[in-house]
Amino acid sequence: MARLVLERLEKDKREQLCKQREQDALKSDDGLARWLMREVVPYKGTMCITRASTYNNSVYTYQEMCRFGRLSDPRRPVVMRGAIHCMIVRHGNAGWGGYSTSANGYAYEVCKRYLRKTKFACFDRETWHDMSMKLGRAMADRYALSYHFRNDLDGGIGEMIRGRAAWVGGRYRFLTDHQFKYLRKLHQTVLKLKHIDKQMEEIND
Amino acid sequence: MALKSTKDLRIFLVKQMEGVADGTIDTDRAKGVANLSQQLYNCVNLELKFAKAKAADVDLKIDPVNFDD
Repeated sequence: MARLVLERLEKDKREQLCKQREQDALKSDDGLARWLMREVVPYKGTMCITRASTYNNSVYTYQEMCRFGRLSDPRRPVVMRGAIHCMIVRHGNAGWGGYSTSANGYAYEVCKRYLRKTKFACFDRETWHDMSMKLGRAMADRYALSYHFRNDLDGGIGEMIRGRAAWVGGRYRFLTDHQFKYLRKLHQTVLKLKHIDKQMEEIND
Repeated sequence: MALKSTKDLRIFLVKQMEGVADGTIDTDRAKGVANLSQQLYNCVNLELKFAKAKAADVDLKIDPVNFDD
């Protein structure tokens, strides 16, 4: 609670400082500053310079288009077509199939690798939810992630695990009735054996 | 692969699981492995319980089951 109050205070302070700077710039004799204030400030916060956001593996056409309100927008960047893709990959929140260097994409790939290496198997929604929350918290403590990451990991894959669909061997699979039945049985035995191993270690220690 | 411990058994079972999911192992074999692994688990669990009971009571004596009675 205290952190939220402090953040709010800092935000208010920043806004006040920005307003003060704008006023100073308008009063000054600097022609460029006055021009910038007149042309740029009205558009502040209404549009973004770079294209960003959306979910994993999805970059839509509208992201690649130059979406600015006016062609004469002074903030309109001059970039090559290929550079737009680079901007999306480097700064967008989308994971983009493991090619993204953004925090979200990196975290998503790390989580998938973790699940693959630990031989994690999941046959119901609740187990997946618990694991995704655990992973999400661990990653969010270290990296600056957006809600797209959580939506991708928990909602995206988790919503698909239902009926005879499961996450086995680091992949999402559709199983037959028999496959599902015996896989679940094997998995339960593995978990029980793991529990026994832990107990044995405790006794030996 | 020789199974010498519960860890080996777990590794073996995970491999079987991946095989079943890929479709390289048929369901009859999977059923057999699942039942056998359950039996093994029961044996190990019983041994563990016995070890715990023995550790708790030093003078514990358990006579073998006599089928003649």
